[in-house]
Amino acid sequence: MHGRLKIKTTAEQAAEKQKEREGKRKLYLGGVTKAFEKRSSGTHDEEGLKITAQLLAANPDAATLWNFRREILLALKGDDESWEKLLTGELAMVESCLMKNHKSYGAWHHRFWVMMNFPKPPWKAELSLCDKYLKLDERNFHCWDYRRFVVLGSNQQPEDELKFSQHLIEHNLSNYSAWHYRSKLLPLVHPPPSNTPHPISEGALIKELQTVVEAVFTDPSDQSPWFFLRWLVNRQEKVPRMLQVGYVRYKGDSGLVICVFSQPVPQRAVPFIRLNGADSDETLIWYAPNDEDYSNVWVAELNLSSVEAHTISLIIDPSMTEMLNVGEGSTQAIEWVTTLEVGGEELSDTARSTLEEVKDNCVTLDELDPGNKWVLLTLVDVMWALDCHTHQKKIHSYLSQLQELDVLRNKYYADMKSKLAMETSLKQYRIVAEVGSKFELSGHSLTRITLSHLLASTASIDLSRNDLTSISPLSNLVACRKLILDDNQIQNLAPLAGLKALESLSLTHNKIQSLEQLKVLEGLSALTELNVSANPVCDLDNTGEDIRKILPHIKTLILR
Amino acid sequence: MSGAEDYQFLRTRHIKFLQRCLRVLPYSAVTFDTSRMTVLFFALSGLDLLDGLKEVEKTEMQHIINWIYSLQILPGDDKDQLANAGFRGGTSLASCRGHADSVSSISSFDCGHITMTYTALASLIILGDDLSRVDRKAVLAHVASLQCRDGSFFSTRGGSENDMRFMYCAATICYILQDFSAININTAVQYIINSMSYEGAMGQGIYLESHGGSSYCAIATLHLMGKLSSALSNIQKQRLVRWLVSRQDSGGLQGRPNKPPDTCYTFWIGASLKLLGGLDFLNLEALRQFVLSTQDPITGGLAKYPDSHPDGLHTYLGISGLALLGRDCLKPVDPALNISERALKHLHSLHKSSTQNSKSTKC
Repeated sequence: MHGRLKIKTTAEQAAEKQKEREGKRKLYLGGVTKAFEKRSSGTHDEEGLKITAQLLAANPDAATLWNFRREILLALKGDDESWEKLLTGELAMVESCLMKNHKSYGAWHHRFWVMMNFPKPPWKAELSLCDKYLKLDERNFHCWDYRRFVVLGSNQQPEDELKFSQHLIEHNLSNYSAWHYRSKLLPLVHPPPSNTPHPISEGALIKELQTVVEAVFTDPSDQSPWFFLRWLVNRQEKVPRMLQVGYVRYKGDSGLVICVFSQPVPQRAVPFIRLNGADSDETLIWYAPNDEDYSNVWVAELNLSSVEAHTISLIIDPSMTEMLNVGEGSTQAIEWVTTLEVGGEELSDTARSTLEEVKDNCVTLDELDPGNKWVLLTLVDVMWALDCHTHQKKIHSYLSQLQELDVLRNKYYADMKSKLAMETSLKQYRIVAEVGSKFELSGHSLTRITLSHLLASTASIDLSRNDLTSISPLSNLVACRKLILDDNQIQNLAPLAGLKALESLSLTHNKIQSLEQLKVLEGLSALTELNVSANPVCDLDNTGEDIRKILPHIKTLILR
Repeated sequence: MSGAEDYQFLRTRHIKFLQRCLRVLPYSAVTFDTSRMTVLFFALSGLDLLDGLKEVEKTEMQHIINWIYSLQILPGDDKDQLANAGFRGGTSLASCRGHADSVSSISSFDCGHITMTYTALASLIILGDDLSRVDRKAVLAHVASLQCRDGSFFSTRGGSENDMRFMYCAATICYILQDFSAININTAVQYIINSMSYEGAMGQGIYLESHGGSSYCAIATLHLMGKLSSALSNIQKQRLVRWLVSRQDSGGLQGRPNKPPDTCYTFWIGASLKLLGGLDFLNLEALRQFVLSTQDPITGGLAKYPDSHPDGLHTYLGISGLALLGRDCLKPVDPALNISERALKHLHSLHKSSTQNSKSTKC
């Protein structure tokens, strides 16, 4: 069970082994029976210790036997001196089990128990034990966990442990567990002030970055320091904020209020609404377009008469009210509540200069050691964190290189390219967007749509000529009137079922197979224009008639 | 790994291997004696995915069902004993108990083990049983008694280590019995969040390195509790997906960085990605070739590495991992409960009929 290799045996050797096994099995079963007879009769004696020791040597993972052993030991407990002697013997016994299996949960757990029962625990010796087992396997997480316990018990200072981790790393750069240990110690020894996005204090961060950069220059092919570097430069996530509020009329006086948040939030995060200076809140029934408990977009039906102007007030918190003015006869209104976050805009000066330095180091490394996957990945991360829009071309070319170098993760990098294209376009869109403007991102080999919540109030969207199969994020496009999805690989239209404002839908050159798949559009009463030409469904008989039957609102239907 | 050899999937040999696991285990597997229930689960679920269950006689199935139930601890009406309930791992400990019937003969060491309870219930579902002989109240009390203040779970009342594995077992048991009231979901979720490390995935506990097995246990637990979309932020999910995708190393999947690929992670990492919608980011064909290279062409079964000895655990997780990829004529597997979709459907029908029954008793 621990990756033993196979060796061939002769028939004779096999027969002898069989005999040996039979004998062992009989002894084992006999031992277990005896042990439990003793336990049921409440006999706690030396013999019990002897038997359980033998059984546990064969099977160190029998939790019940360890439990019984602990019962016996407690029953045999005498004065401090004899107790210490007993427990010292116990440590030796556990070690013999560990020698057989370095990773036995039961054995390590028992060692914890023994140490906790010592009147004067021999911590120093235990620290050496940890060193010994970590030398045998530096990734043995049982031992790392035990070491943490010993460090706590012996009052070893985190600073000393930090030195220990440094020593391990210097000895072997790819000691992954040692880097991990370091990541846990650093925030203890150098905690960050409350407002910073980084995991440790800035002074320590800069020093740590220097160390890591040295490590990667020493051996750029080892992944451990690169992951550590990424942890140091990555920003923590912010608290969710409201980004945008909008109103869209989809038929006559019927309309929707739309609230957009930076992250998925539950319904209770939606602020209270007041209309036209009223004193009391409107009772609105909010729903999420994706029908989940947590969503970036929350929508509610709200009828407002189109012959007059209206003001929708959102009470975001006691000190902040956002006002949205819906003009007389207007079909749409949008108000951006906070600056759109599409990455890189809110870095502190220190953070920015730190990232720039890392970037420069990586660029140098790329020149010295071209084709190094870790350098390229870090450059992608750092440039994206700085400003994906400015560095878009470079990031895209690094991702292309990665697709060739790291073929196994080819699809993952393609997906990152999609994300890059969308984020950069959305940033651009935000800068120029006005009510009624169009969002277009066609011909970009997009495999995935991200951040669709930023398009929740957009009226016209064009995502044609891409590689989309799944369009579930499009359920957020609740204000969309015109949607172009030509030249993709779409089959499932269910995410569009709730787009009440949709008037025109173009799906030419996709993979729609059946009328069933079109039936999901039947609730869209505003939909009058539909183009499904060049889809397999058109090869069926009577497609035109059948579609008009299930979607009676359609006036213009294009089949060829 | 450049397509020099194209491995075939040795379905019939694996069926034979798993059938042997059902009947007899070699001495080399003695460490599994107290966890025979898990080996049973591997064999049954493996045969199910291989579409080999139909070769098991109905009488044998019934015999197995009875054996499973014989390992259930029934405290009866003694409230003090309720928490000692659950299922045992094997008979070697129970048979030494003396006469089974009286409640007083249940001593504090003869209590259920959470992993055995999960695999017992899962095995019963796979065999088509209706769980009517399960003492639900007792099993849920057993689960409830094992949760620690920090949200994690022990495996057994007598005492053990506590970590992510047993949290997963607790979640599966509650899901199967349709009752999460036995556990404190908030502290459980908090424990999971606290166990995320700088790499972006979960370790067995707080302070421990990110690990493929623990990450699976955490993600599947969140999914079963219905908390997967709310408990993790988008960035956390992105980092998790990236960590999982980075575990593919020359075809196979490793449990942690800088470790050799190991067959069992095909399921642990594969199912995690499936639940997060990122399975397609892996190179599935290369993964499949690695798994097939660990097959034993003579005895059947799959091993941890190529040219190692096969065992029940790696055989099953290799097969259920391949089932996620949807190839080799394997039945589809549910990534959260780790049973076939057919078995899951049976479970859901049991859920439906029990809600209908409770509705009718309300009138």
